[in-house]
Amino acid sequence: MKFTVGWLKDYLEFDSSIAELSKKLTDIGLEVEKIVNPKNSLGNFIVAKITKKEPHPNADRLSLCEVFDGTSKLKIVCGAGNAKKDLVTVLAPVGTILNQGKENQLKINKSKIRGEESNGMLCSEEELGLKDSSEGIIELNDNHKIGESFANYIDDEDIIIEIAITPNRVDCASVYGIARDLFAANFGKLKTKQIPKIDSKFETKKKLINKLKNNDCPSFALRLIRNVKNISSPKKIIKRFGKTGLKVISSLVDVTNFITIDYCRPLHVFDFDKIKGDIIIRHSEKGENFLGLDGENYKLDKGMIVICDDNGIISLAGILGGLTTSCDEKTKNVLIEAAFFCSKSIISSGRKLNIQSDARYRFERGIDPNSVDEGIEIATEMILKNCGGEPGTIVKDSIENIPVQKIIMEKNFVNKVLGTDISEKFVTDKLQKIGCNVKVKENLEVYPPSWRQDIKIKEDLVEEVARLYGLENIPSKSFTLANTPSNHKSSTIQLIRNKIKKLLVSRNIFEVITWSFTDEKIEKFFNNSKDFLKIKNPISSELSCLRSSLLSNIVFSIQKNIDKNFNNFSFFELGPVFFGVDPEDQFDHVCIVRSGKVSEKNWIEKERKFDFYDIKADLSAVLKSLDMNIDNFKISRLSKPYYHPGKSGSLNISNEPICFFGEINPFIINSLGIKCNLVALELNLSKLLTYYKKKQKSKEPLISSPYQASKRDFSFELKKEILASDIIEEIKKINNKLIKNVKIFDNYEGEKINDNKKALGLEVTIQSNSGTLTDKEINEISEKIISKIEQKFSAKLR
Amino acid sequence: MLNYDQLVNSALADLNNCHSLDLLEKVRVKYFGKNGEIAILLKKLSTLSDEEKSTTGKKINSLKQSFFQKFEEKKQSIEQKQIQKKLEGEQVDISLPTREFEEFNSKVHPITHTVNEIISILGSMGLNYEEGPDIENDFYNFSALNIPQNHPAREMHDTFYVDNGKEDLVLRTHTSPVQVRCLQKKEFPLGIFAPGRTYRCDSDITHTPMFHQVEGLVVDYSITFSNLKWFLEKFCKIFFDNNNLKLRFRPSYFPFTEPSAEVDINCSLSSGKIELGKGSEWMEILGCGMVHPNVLEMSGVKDKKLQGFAFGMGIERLSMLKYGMPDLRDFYDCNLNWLSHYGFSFLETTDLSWR
Repeated sequence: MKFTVGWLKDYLEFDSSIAELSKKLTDIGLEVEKIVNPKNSLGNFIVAKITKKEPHPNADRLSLCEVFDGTSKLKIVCGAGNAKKDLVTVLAPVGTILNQGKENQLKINKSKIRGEESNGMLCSEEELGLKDSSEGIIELNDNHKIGESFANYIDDEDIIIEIAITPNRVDCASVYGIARDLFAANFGKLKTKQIPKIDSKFETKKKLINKLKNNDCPSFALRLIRNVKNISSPKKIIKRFGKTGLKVISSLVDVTNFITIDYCRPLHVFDFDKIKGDIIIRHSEKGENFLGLDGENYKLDKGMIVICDDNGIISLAGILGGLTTSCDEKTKNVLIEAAFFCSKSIISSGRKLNIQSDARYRFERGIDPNSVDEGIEIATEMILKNCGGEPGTIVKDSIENIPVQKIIMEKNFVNKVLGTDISEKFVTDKLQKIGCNVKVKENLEVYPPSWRQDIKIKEDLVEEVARLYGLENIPSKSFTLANTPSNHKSSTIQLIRNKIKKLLVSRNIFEVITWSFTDEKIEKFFNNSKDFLKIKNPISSELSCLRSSLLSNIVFSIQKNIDKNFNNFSFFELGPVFFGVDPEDQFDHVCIVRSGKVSEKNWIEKERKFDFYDIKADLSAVLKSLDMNIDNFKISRLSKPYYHPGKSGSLNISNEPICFFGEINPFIINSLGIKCNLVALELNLSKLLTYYKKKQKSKEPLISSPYQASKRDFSFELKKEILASDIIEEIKKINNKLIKNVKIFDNYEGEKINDNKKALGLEVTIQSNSGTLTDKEINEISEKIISKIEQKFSAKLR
Repeated sequence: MLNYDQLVNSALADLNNCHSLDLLEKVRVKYFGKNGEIAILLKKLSTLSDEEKSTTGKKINSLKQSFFQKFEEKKQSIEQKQIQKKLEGEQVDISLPTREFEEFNSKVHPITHTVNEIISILGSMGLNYEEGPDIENDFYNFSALNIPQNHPAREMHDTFYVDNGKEDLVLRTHTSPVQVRCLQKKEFPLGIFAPGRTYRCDSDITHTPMFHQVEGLVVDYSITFSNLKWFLEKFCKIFFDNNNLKLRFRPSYFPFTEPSAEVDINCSLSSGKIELGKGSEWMEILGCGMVHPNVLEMSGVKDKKLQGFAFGMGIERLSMLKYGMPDLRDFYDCNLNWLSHYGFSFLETTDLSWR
């Protein structure tokens, strides 16, 4: 909401500074977003007069001016077409800074322009910051005294204030409303708006049928004014419109726009002679057409409020007038419309048709339902003044008075909510000042004013008192919260998330955060079985569905960095994925992707690409951080098609895979156009955590055997496809008390061995907790190991 | 018959002249070898009288002792010199880089770091950690928060709708739905905070379609607006680690609080850099207010005497103000240089509450 200080002064007398005004506005909840005050920047500019003008000898478009600045005559080169002898204008003397603080800041220097001396600059309104664009230098009248600072002539109509209006405060989407609220906050003196009562000269002959009286349009009124001249608006209005960004159209239309901003009373004017037959207010039918003032043809939905004549819809109520009955310069007889439309209906129509207008903005938020007559009278007065003509009677089709809200509030309620010590007198006084009718009984009985439809309950009254008391005056008071029941489950999960994040960063993986959405096209690479959860209104096709895996976004971000010539790095994300719309379908996943080589080319070690075992090590580390051992899980070859078929696997809990990991299939890497090898891991953390047992605070007693451990090495030749983990499991089963550890020290495939075979070297640690083992006992175990492995896996000891 | 002293002197002198372990061994053999001087001496011993045997035997023992003492000393000294010489030959170029060849030093994302800081402060102030789902229905995201259908405030939330053909499901536009979920449990006093992802259909310099918020809610019988002021002042001073920070509470509007306020912190913008806790400019950081009675009612809280406060903050904004990232969009761009520069070491402490 933009207004000039001069406009505000129409309704509020005050001597305070602009800074004080600004602070007050913000303090009462009308946040000042911007102040344009040319006075602050125009101090050095001087009113001056052109005393002589000659053509520039070297340039056709320039002229040589002699300018009198009140003390001396200066030679100035000027390019403006309107420069002429005796013109009073504004001079920026040498040393002045134009557009201070802005990008196009310019210091005026003594200079030579095309060989001619110039001692300053004559300014346009644009250069003075008075207008966004202008042509020629400013032309002043004789009231301006030569030699005075031009800042002295900047008046309140040049100072623009822009405030943010919260959705509840539509009453302040009007200059009068702002004045009224400032006055309630003890700022200045309110000049109460006088509503004229204009005698009609004839009967307005128009039949009006309001079919929506009992729901969407409780009040509707018309008045005809005959013989108007729709010339241009008075200068004052045109200036204010220019300053506040309103479009000047024609005197009649300007009146309605002015009253909208001035008094939050949207109105409409029809050219009476273009209307055919009766005026009917009704709901639209689906598919009806409406030609708006903006020239657009709208197709309406069922149930929008429309105003019709015999030819069809002539106005979309509260949102946009129609082109066929609009006023133009030839309009002689004007029909003013003032109505109260319910906000719900306006919101729904406005949103469906996506039409923004000052009227819609106000009706949506709920204007004063009792302002219909006022609107007609104010508009009539202005039209008669600006356009002449004679007024007819007011034609109305409305329900009886709209009921007034009554709020009961306990006397101590304000202090109970705010924690303050505000007196009852202050409360009643402030409520009265904002227009409430307050009856002091055992409780306070409060009747809010009709223009404050937002005040409905006693808490709303507390807010009014609080903001007028000043939030800064409410003391800060400490409190302690009695022990509140805590949700250990979610805080435990959060602690684990953090632990894993820190672990992975310590393993030289960067944490990234990517969108919860992803590109359907990329998601398809990584999710070929499920339906995508689509967004109805995506912001772009790249963010069109909710992700069911983190891989697509991370791979995409890896690609972006590879394109910037980074090759060897790792990313992880720990975040939500979505398998359905219910809360239990949302899972926390961990995804790690490593790209390129373990290390860059260097002087000490051989370069090595990331491989399957690097990513498996990451998985093992994550499990370890949760006190889980990867060896206690079943690792299977079961994997996903986007992994390398031989270099990938999954971690399973009761036959359900909860983690896939391995090298990404080179086919996928190629088809995504990535120039690096990738290894990846996707862990369903939420599922893993269902198996997580929080450790007890006290630790288990330490058991360590004092007796010597013996180590025996074995080398078996066996089929390639046999998993080492199966061998280890089998060995441990032989005597899980004495066999403490099985370690793989060799895994050989190559020339010295059959093509489909490999040699597996194992070191078995044998130790008893109750005594030193004899050679015989150890040999027995060794023999059992050999025979069991040879039998079960058709292996051969080498 | 035996020049004992001469033998002692020559043996010790021989030892002294040794410069290698080989020579040392030769000297040992010369005197104490099978056919060494001492062996010869011992052979002669049998020809002597008992008394002479005894005195000569003692002398030889004494000689043996002093010889081997000197021998060991010499041996150690030679060995040490050899090791020293070997080590001196093993010099490396100490200026060469270590085995950490990675171009970048991995970092924790600033959002994670900032959330952890918030958790440590709010946790120490007595609030419990909570969370809620990202996909919410209309009830939790709007209706229960006093934003009915066709409320103008819905215009302000550019909502993403999830297409599942049935319910009106949305990506939560704020973390406030967690308020409702916690109130529904009806366990009072209630004090929670809930950080998380939030979504709005908006994308420009200052908006990303996904961002993070943290919600706070405290409900009891005597929680007042002045408690809210104290709480947020304390939080901000700890978070920004700045006791000079001033807070400005400015009346505002949120459908789910009444009265509502926005909170600004003071800063100076003069040097083109934001300095918090100095100067007279104001920077908006959060929204708050007293829980609207309709929210309590919609959440099924029947006890009309309960009242409390709620607040919500944008985590990116807090992070940017504290750590100086210039552009919101970079948080989600996954640019290695940015992550490396603005990220945090995993060792960095996030517990600010005891400072």
